[in-house]
Amino acid sequence: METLLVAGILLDLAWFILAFFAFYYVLKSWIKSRYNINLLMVFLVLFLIVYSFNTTSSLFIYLLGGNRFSITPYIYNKIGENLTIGYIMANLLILSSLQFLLYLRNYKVLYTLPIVCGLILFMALYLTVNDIINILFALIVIAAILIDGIRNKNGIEIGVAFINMFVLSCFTVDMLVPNVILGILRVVASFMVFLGFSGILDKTIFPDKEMEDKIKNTWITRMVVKKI
Amino acid sequence: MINQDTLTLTIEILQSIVRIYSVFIVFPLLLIILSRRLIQEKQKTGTYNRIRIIILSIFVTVFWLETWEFLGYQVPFVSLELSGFEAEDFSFYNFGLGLAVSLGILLATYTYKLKYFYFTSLYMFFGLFILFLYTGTSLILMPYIYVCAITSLVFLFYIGFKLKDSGALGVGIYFLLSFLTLFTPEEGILALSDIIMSFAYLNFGLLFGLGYFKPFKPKTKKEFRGN
Repeated sequence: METLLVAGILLDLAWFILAFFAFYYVLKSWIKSRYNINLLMVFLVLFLIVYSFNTTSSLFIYLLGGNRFSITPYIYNKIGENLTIGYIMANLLILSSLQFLLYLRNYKVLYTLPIVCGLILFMALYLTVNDIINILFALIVIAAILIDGIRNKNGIEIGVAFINMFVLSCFTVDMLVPNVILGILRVVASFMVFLGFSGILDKTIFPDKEMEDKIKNTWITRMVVKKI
Repeated sequence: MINQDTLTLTIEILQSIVRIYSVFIVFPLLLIILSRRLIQEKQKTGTYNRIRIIILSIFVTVFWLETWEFLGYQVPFVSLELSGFEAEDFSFYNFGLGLAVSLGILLATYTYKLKYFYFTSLYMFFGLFILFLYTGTSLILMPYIYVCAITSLVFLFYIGFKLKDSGALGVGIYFLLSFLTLFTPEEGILALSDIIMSFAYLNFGLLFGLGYFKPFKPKTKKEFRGN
């Protein structure tokens, strides 16, 4: 039991540190470039950290006894059948990622789609206990962003896709084994977010060969000119 | 003095004539005319005119709901409950009604070139439909239909007069006349007003489809030169 507790603390610390580093890199790129899309990513990562702290989906807390109500009493107050603040925050994160994708690809006719989807998802949670439609929607958004990121060789997009994966892994389950799996998934997801936002994915897996060749050729030309 | 039973029978016969006229004469003719125009324009220009497609879709959905009203009232083995004519949630009739008003908003946003809002009404309508399939209720369908109907009416009239667009104005007048039939009584002597309004919007639809509704004179070259 003690080993599991220590493992739980380490897993939770790991995702928090990785998320913090992702926030640092995304803030740095916004300060450097001041593009609106970088600002959107800053808010996305910050919101993610705030959300994660408040869901108490921590393995550590589960192993302690899982009395979530004493730590975050408001997060599980229900409006209707199953609409809680936790669900609202989770859905807002996923919808923000979808808005990010649409803004990036400049699909103007689809700009109002996330707002309408949000309304429908909240009404669904208000009317029924079942949250399958929310999970399905999140999976569709993850797939769309991931496919677009891989096709366009964009590490940041892949990072955003894994933000949604992280949000999905924060859904609480009252069983030990699934909670351990979700705990590991959180670390993996936050690691991928860190890789995507820090630019490591762009440099290692999606290097821009054309740009590299251009730079090499420029250096070679300069060296030749100097010799002459 | 007219006997109450005779009056009721006369009103019912007239209402049946209106429904038969609508489903078997007006709408089939209208859809054939609008489809032919669309195909002819495609052959001439090489591309489909999107506004014609939207107007055709509006009339197809109105035909859908007129057919369900006809089936509910006139066909013995199809009850009013099945057609959903008086339902408060999604039914065959209300599906057509919701889609028609959503397409009305689409026509208004497309004509006025509000690119960000082109398909918002359709997203909302199909979202409510998915919600209905998932939970068994759509919660806000009827308020959505009324809000959309009024918004599309206001928009279509505004765009029709501002941009001098006969298409938008024509659809706006058509919607207004059909909307007014909701407020006319269907029983007693005053039911005659409902019958007259129904004939009015059906015949107006036919005139619009045939291309006779052109309230705005097209500008000639002489006018542009200020002669």
